[in-house]
Amino acid sequence: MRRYVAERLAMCVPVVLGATVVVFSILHLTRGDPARLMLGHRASPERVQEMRQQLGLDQPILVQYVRWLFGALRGDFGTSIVAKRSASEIILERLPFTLQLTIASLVFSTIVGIPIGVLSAVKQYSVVDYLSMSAALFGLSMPGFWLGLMLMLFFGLRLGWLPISGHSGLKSLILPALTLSLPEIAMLARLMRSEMLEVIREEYIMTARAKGLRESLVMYKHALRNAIAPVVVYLFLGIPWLVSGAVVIESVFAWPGMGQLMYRSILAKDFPVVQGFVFVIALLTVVCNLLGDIVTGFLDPRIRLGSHLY
Amino acid sequence: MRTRIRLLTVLGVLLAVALVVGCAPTPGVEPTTAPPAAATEVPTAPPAVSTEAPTAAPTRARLVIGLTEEPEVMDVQQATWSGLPHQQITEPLVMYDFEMKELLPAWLESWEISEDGTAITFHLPPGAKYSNGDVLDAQALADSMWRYANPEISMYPEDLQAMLETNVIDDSTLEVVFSEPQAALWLVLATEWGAPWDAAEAERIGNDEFSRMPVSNGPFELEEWVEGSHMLLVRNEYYETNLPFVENQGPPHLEEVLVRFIPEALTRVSELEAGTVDIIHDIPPSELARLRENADIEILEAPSPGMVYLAINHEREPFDDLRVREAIAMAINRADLVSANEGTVDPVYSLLAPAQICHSEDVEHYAMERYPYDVETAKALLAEAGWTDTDGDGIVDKDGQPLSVEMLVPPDDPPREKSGVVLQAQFQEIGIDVSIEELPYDFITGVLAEGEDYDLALDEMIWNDPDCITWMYDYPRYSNPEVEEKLDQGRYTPDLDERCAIYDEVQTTLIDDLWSVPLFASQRYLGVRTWVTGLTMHGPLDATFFLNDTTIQE
Repeated sequence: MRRYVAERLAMCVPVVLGATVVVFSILHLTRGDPARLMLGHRASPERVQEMRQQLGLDQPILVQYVRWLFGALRGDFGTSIVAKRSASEIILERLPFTLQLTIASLVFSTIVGIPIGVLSAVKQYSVVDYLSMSAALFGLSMPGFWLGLMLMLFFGLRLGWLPISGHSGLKSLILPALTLSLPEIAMLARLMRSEMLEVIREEYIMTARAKGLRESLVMYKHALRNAIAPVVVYLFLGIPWLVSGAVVIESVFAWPGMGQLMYRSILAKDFPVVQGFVFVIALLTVVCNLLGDIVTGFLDPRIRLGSHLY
Repeated sequence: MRTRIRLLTVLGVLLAVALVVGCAPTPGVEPTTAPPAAATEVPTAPPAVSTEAPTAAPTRARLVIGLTEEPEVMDVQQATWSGLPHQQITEPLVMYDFEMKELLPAWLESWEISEDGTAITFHLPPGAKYSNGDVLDAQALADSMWRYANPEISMYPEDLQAMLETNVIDDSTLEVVFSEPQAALWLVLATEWGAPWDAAEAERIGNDEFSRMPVSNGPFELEEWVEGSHMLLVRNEYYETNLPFVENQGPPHLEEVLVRFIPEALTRVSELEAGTVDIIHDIPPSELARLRENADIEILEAPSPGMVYLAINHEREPFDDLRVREAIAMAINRADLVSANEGTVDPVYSLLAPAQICHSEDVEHYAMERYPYDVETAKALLAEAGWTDTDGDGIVDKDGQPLSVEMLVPPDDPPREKSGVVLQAQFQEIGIDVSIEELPYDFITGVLAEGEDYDLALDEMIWNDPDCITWMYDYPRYSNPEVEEKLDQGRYTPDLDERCAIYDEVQTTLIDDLWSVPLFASQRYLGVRTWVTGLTMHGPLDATFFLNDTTIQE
């Protein structure tokens, strides 16, 4: 187990580095000069050149990257070109809003998605099963943007039960979190269902039944426990997705999270902010992967006790 | 069992679909497209829109406004663009009347111009203060002007490049001496750009902090800015103005203005319909018809003081040939652009839109007659320049090379995005193969301003004063010393008729040379709840709001 975790930890470094290198390259090699974007159309070329020097943009790309990387490792992503203050500060200010959204979605998806999946498996081919799976298909197929707008128009405008947009307390969190969680609920439900169905067919379930155990005990103690591992992994992997998927939802609901910030920063070629964000997301992704793997290790004795497969 | 499974699945899906369809809002009634404004119409200056004066006690002291774009910098002297939030925290020195012809006092009480026009004496309201209590006297105003002229701080110091010295005559009298008589400067002084900004406070807290929390002399001051969410403006108790067209020349009736940033159009519109937001900007054409039918909402319209135009790179073959440029101009059917934008834009042929100072109907007619929509002539011109379709593939060619070019189109500006596709088809008709390259609009302006390569580009310029032609002069990589001289002259010719005569000449030359092809001026649509009273909007001046008399009567 320890080796397992160590191996996983070691993988973090190249992944994060790789992500930052890719984004850095894309930002620098595509059109759009931050100095010109910042100074506007009337600034003279000399002024723009001066600004480039000030921002350190005239240095070779490698130098710029290394300089930024050393700063990033200390938590300093540089100074935002647009807002003229610490990029780390800006990201930290907006992060809580995105986290609120993401955590609420996560909690909601888990509470709703997993039981639905289990129920559908236990009552396979029943009305519950069909309705759930149809709804799941719907939730997966409909684009979040559209879903969000529909929910907003119905619950916000037509019924007036919830705020339409903006951050104004717990009530305003409901619609965006719901929209964000719907595809996740769908995925979790389907995954849980298929894992349960697979496990139910295993021989030890037949044995448990033959032993005379109550059906509910068979299902929830034996089947669920073994089926849940992949679902948990998926849950953890979904966290970075939720954070980045929030970009569209944040725009629709005018939620002041990191997603909106990223969109504007990319358009303004605000390198420090965009790179800081990518760094954070890459880190989050590897950490979540790691956590997912660790939890799986605990849940699956084969991994925990160190089988030959590893 | 199998049939039952299938049946239930189908029923389940149908139920889901029914839920969706049932819950969907009724689609907007197809907007009857307004007939494109005939370019021969003489434009009457759009009157300022003013909702009736309040009759009862206001029910709410906070106005909520929904904006599309959040400013990056609130200190206008460090900003590259400005909008409503900047306008509400500052009071400009002067103001234009609603015809954009005469100057009126705004924050200043009055001013005099010397005989030769090079010295302007400003008379300030005595005892005036900035919103934080700092003294706003002649010295403070001078400090503010020098700060604006400082290239280390300001984005547009050239606006004051002719300023030689400032002389404080007494606390409320400031004389500013220029090397030339000022003409283009007045628009700057009539907007937030030329207003007083507290240079002393900037010194105290540093420019970076001041760019986020600036201090000025407007009806409101910036109290709180939660990035990505909103700005809270509160009443400035020190505010005073000499604007003749508002009743209340002291602090506004409203206590607070909450400016919310709502980037998604449908969300903004929903908030307005729900009544949780009182005013919104940028209503998309698809929502107009429905909102107009809503008795609780009033739609305000204002013409854009500027236009969308097609920039052509004169240094790129074959655009260096005037005939090819002429062919392009004559292949454009502006009526199609108008209908692609659902009637929310007005065609323009000259270089100054109706809301801009020195717009000339004569020049507009001249341009229209010189380069009307004429596909046959366009093809003939191309043929004359050596471009014909020798291989029958629909694209003209010359010496074996097809005429294939790239057009930069911004995906983040709907009117231009829609127009790009239409233009592509229109150019295809005369045999020019245009491929669209999408680039955000700021980037496009960057390409033009940086001297980078391009073939064609859709750009937009918004500024009331004809001096803006000088700024974009180089975008098409065009050079004509005569025009340059006249542009310089125009900047410093105070007499309006003389000035406009100069710009008429400039426009005519640039039209003859097909410097670039003007396309259309957009209409702005704003939505206001009818319970907002006493609102004055200066249509031509970038739809600036004056909230001095505004109250809310629910």
